[in-house]
Amino acid sequence: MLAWLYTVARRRFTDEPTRRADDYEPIAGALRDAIAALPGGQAQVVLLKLVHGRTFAEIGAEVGLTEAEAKMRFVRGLERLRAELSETGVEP
Amino acid sequence: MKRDREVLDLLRDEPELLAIADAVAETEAPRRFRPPRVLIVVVTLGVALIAIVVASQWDRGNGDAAVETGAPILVRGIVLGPDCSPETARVGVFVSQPEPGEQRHVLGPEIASVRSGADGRFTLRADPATSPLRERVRAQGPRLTMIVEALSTDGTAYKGVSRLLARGRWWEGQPSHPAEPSPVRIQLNPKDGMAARC
Repeated sequence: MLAWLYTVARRRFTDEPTRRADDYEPIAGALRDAIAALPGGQAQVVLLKLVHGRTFAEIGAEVGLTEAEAKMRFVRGLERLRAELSETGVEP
Repeated sequence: MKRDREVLDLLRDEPELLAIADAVAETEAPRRFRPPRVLIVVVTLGVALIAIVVASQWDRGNGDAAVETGAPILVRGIVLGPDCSPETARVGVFVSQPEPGEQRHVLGPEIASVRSGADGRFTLRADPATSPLRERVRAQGPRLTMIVEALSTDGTAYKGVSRLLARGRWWEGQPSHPAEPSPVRIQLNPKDGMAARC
């Protein structure tokens, strides 16, 4: 699983212009499903951080947590995603 | 896309989680507009078709390499060689202007030029709104005298023409210059078969 995740990460940062969307779509679909399956609090923190680029302090203030609790919830959310994706068994 | 410093610090020892974080950011990021491939193909073909149509307007006719295809026709003719066969020549039309102190006219500024085709035919066009015609019309009125010159390997021929500018077109007047002796001749407004009857 680690291999395809690295592939996803590399694609993101190189922003390969000729990439075909349908190559990535099965992986993205599994990831969206996994995010949707996260407990509400974890999904909120993960998305606020990774999509909206908020700091952990801002996230904590927004959802009523300390900065350390926001970090912890973020890590727990990612660990949950890893577990969900392992169960799905998506191959690149 | 720049990585989040806090995320990097937090997941420094968790490469799998860092990779998942990257994948989440990639998956959930606002989508860029990517036009469907078929749309790109259709637009490209459309642009190519328009380019072909526009380009085809620039060179039409029977070997007449008209310089200004959008301008009204000023002179049409055919260049004939010594044996009355069609002649390829450089054909130019000039403003006719009197030489000071002389009765004759000389070539003034060139208005347009073209090369006659293999069939000897040529079409000269000129936009009256461009120089030097614009200044001539302003100074002399809509009736202008011009000289057509044909330069070929067999000789040079001249023909005087008169043109009246009206409603944005050139209308024929009477020839104003007698043809000068030359092995090469210019026939204006040739009909089909004119060269054969020469």
